[in-house]
Order: sequence, then C-alpha cells, then structure tokens
Amino acid sequence: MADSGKESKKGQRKVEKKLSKLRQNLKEKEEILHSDFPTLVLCVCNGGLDNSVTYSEILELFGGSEIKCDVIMIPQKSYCFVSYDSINMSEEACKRLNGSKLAPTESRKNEVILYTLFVKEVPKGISPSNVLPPGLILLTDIISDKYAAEIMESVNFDAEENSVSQQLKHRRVKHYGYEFKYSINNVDPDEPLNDRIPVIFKHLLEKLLEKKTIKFYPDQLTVNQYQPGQGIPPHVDTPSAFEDGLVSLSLGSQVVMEFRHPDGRHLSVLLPPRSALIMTGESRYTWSHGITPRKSDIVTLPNGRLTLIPRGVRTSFTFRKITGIKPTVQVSEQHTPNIPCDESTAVELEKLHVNKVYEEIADHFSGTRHTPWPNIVGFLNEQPDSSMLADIGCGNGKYLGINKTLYEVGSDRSFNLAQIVQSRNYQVYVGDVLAIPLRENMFDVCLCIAVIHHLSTEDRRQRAVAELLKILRVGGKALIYVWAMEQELNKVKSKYLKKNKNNESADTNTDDKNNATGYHGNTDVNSKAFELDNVTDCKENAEKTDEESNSDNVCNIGDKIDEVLNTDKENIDICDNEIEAGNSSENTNPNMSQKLHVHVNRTQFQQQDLLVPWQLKNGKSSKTRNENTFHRFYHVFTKGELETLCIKAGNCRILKSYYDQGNWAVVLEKL
Amino acid sequence: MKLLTHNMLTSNIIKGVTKGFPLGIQVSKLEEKSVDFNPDFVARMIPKIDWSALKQAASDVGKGDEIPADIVPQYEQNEDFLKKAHHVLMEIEVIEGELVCPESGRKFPVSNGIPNMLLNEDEV
Repeated sequence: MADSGKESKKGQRKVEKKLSKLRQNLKEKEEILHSDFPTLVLCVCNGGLDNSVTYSEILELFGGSEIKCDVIMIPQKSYCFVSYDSINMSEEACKRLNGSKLAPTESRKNEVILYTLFVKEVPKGISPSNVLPPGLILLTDIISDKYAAEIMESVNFDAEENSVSQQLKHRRVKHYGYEFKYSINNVDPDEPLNDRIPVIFKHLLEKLLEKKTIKFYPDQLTVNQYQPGQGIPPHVDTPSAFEDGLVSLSLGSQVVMEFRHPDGRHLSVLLPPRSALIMTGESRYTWSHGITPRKSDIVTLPNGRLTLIPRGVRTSFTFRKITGIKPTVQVSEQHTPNIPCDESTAVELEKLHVNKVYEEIADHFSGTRHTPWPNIVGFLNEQPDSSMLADIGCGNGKYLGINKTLYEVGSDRSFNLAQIVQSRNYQVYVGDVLAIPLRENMFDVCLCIAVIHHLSTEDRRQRAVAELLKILRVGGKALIYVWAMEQELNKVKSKYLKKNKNNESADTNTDDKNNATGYHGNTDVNSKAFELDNVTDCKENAEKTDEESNSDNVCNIGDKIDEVLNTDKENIDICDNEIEAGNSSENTNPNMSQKLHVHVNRTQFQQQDLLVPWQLKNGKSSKTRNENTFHRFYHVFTKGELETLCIKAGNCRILKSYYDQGNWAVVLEKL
Repeated sequence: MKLLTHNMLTSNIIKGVTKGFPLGIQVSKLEEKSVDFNPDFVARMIPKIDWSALKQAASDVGKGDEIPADIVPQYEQNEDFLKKAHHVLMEIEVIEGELVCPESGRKFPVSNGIPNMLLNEDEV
C-alpha cells in the first residue's frame, strides 16, 4: 500500500496505535478479550453491519474460494467475527488484512479501514456458556427424532383447532389445560380449557416425574413457535401462578436463552433441538429468562471454535403445574399494584413496598452498605465543629461517625435498621420523614440520603423536603440524594443523555408522555443549577450506590441502551420534537390506574415509578418459593426534578446540585 | 438515648399539638456511659440547647441535682459547670422507658435506647 519503507513503518505504527485503542475499547465496552497469540477467531473492527459492511464482502475478503471460514455479523455492531479451521489460516488472514481498506459503496459513503485482532473470548450474550444458573437442568436428546416428529404433527399450528391459539407480536402461541392470559400474566384456575395437555406428551412427562426431575405432573401447556429473528423479552414466570419446576421442550431449531440474575450475572444457555430445560429453585424464581431476537446463534464447537448457526423455526412446549391461586391475590413479578394517586393508597403502598421490605431485609441490606460515598463524606467533613446533624433515613448509620466533631442523631423508619445503628453506639430514633419529631429551626445540618425516592406521590416527596427544612436553622444546610432515572450520565456527554432520555420515553408504551414532559420541561431550570460532579474517584469504590440495591441493577447498561436506541430510532425522532413541551416536573399521572412495573435488572428504567426487586441472600432456601425476593417502591428522579421539588417545598435555595453515580443530589440552604 | 438527644425531640408532629416540648421521661432503665470530656464541644452545645428542658429531663431520670437550674455566667471558662453539663448531656442514657407528650399525654416507648416516634395514621 505504501510506497517507501519509511512510510510503511509510519503506517504500521499508526495501525498499532489504533489497535491498542481498539483492544481496550473492545474489552471495556464489548466484553471481547483479545489474544496476543493467534486463535481461530478474528475480530474484524470496522467490518461490521453498523459500518454498512456486508457479510459477503467480509466472506470474500477473509475466505474466498480457497480458504474456508465462517463470518459472524452482529446486528448494530461495527465489528464482526471471522472463524477459521486452523491457526495458520487465521494468522495469515490477520496479517494480510490488518489495516486493509474497503472502498465506499452505495450504502457506505466513506472508505472503511479494517483492523484485525485475535479473540480469546466473545461477549457472554453472544456465545453460550457451559455454566448453568443454579437449579437449571438441561436434558439433551430427551426424545427421539421420531417422537419429535409425532409431536410436531399433533400440534399443528396451521389447522385451527379448538385450542386457544394466537399470533403474538413476537411469536405464535397456543395453550392447553388453562389459558395463560398475557393481559394479567396469569391463569384463571376456575376456567380450565376443553383441551387438556395432549396425551402424546404423557410419555415424556412421566419420564421426568419418575426421574424426580419434576415434582408435579403439569396441567398447563403453552406452545410457542418462534420464526428466526423472533424472541421473548426477559421475564420470570408468575411465581404465584405456577409451581416450582417449569419444563420447556425445544423442537426444531436450536436457540440461545439468556438468563439474568438481579445482581447482574448473565448466562447464555444453548438449547439444542429435542432438549428439555427444567427451571427449578433459583433459576425459576430469581433469574429472568428470555430470548434475544436474532437470526443466528454463535456456538462454541468442541474444539473451541466459534461458529455461526442460523436459527430455524423453533417450537417450544412449556409445561407448568398451576398453583390454583387465583390471580389478583398476590403481588408478583407481573401482577403489581397501581401507581398511587391519593394519600391513603400511597401510605398503603409504602407500608408494603418500603417499610415492610426494609424490616425484612435490614440485616442483609446493612451488610451491603459499608463504604461511604466520597462526596457525602466531603460534605460532612466541611461542616464546622460541634454542628448538630440529623440524618433522616440513616439506614445502618453508614454516614454517622464520619465527622467526629459533630453531634449527630440518626433516624430510620425501620426498627431493625435502628437497632443496628444503636448497636454501633450512635444516637437514633425510629421515625417517619413526613413527621420529623425534632425541634424546629434547631439543626445546622441535615442528611437525607436515598429516602425521598421511596415516597410514592409528589405531594409526599415535597412534604418530606419541607420537613427537612423545618428542622434546619436559617442558614442550615441539607444534603439530599435520590436515585436518578438517568443511569448513564457520568460516562457520556449530554448528547448521549438526551438520546438516553428519549429512549426511555420512546421505549415506554403507556407513560411516555409523562416521562417526556417530566424531563424535557426541566431542561431550562437545570442548566443553571446543574453541575456535573467529579465522579471518577467514586468509580474506584467497590460499593455501588445505596440504591443500586444489592446488585448491579443499574450499572453498565450503556451498551444495552445503545442497542435499544438503534432499534428505536423512529420513536426517538418523534420525541426530539417534544423538547420544548411542558414546564413543570409534576409527574401527576394522567392515567390514574397506571400499573407499577417491576424493574428488570440491567435494563433502562421503563417508568419513573417502579418496583425494584431485592434478592435476599442467606435467607431461607429459595428452592421452595419465591420468598426471598422483595420489591421496593421507587420514584426515580429525572434531571432537574429534585431541584424543582425543593424550591416548591419552600424557604430554601439550592447551593449546589450534581449527579453522583446514578443519583441526583442537591445541597440546600434554609432561607 | 442521651439527654442531649432528648433535648431535640418534640411531639409536635401529633395533630393538634403545638409545641410538644419538652417530652416528659418515665424511665425504667438508665445507664451511665463514660464519654471523653471535650470542654469546647460542651461549651458550643450550651447555647443550642434548651437548658430548662435539660434540667427537667435530668429531674425526670432522678439526676436533677447534678446540674444547676440555670446556665452560669461565663460558662465557657467554668470547667466544673461544663463537666456537669457534659455528664448529664452525654453520659446519661435512657435505655428503657417512655417519652410523654406534655400536651396530649401520648407516650412514645423507648426500648433498647431507641425512642419510637412513629405515629398512627389517625394522629398525623
């Protein structure tokens, strides 16, 4: 390519520099580990669909008629993978093609420079692992080809029988025994269907029962048929509706199923044709499962080689035993209360989904709260000696005792947390943020960390701020932290934030108006008060934010957002036009009967009011029931909402407001 | 609960109660815990607290004799006074008992040193 040796050397250095940057990026952002030694798989940077590079271009360049290779293109990525049968071949291709250029095409305006790297590990979501979530049983070749063919014949989707069959957005579905109603994510035990589970499955189910793989003979069957490119969103099967031990028989094509734990663990499990997957215990109650809509799966062959297997039509048979519990009785993953619209329902909701939960999880919660946040410590340490401090909602007292020159009183709504504070020799009382039993105009400093987002109406949140101001003396300061709707602000520029925000709105079906106005309406207010804090030090901090719960719930979701963004471009464009709308952070719901969603871990918030699961560890075995998952109510704040709330609450001014690790924070001064 | 903490508590959160201060103390278990004496700290606390309420609280727990009825002049330099104040403010702790609203008579239990200041819904 280059004319002289000197230039070639210069070019080489440039390529090297570029490569080292790419390695870092791939590792950090894409979970792709490169290898210094040749491997069978190459990652071709810039050779991906996102750069308008096509499968056939890469195949021709890296393989051709002589060399055999597989090309794995991944939707919305700027890279692709090429895998070879031998190291010699991959080494040759890597040398030959690193730094090579692809000329512009009709769909590609500029030329593309390809960089090649050997790959040690591909991202978890792309290639299935050998490790299974606890409680998950995978039985391969559970039935013969002949038996499989007979089953497929008996369940004929094309011939409409009496059974309930419907075409969902993502797949075709048919029910036996009881209809699974997607509107309520439940079955009605009083409404059995005429069609029971066909006898053809008796042999399989009895075998599983005999082997004690399952404890109950199922009485409900849902048949799903997935075309290539179809999937199912991550979910946990309604705990109250079905017993432990869900059986899923896969026929037709293989598929990769994604399992996610609330703490952020993610495992991809390859379901080969004619396999049965049995979800029990933790894998049934705690891990969500879903199928990413894709047209192919990347599979590791026994020799360690990655290969691409296109998906065909897959039919899954999910056998479940219903519990007989009538729907609407229990709060489950899918059956949740409404967003409260008045004081009494708000009180009831918070009793159940805040106060009770903290009592139950107090010990475990406290065990996950060790490291104070640097910005809060900084605030405490800058207070003058002998200042009087009230820490309202002090939890386990993590911020007490940091500045030993202060006189501090902590309070919490939870008796069990207050006991922990007391045992650490701090002053504490049990009390409510909405009725602070402290003398007015008394305190120099007030902390209220991760409390106000547990209040379920705007009126209650505003009254809470007013209570804090009540106990402060004039000139006294309050530091307030709440969980942010925006979880990617620190890493990325405001442009990204805007996209991020729009994505949330676009991604939500029923409450997008809410979110859009709640956020956009505030941009003016914020731009003055907003001050992006230096959060890099905090990053080193092993502990996550108070309200990231016991898990990675909200961390590292940037890439995911990116993916969703790309699929939702149309919606985003629509939302861009709404930026000027609204002028208040008031999120009063126009839709009074709006359901509270259960937050799915590692996903973007779908609404501002939501239930966040807390997985209790070291509790009773979760094998029998879903007793160890608790749902806490949160109202996550959009940018500027906290400032607006404080100003509305009364006599104060905002000294500082900032974003800190997924939380919005303000320092107030009482006027 | 130290008496300094008691000095900050009020029952004015109850509907109809205006001042709710000072709360009476009915004590069934009291403890004395040694705390390092810091004269500067105590001197800075004196103007913040309500002395008569402290005096009453001390009387309620049977320690009324340990502090004078009024703050002495130039207390900042009066080590004897500051030590007494330190003892009553920082070292006497109510472990079991009740706090009593001076206006409504509503009692708030103190158990394991923790006052429970939660109200029923109809009291707010």
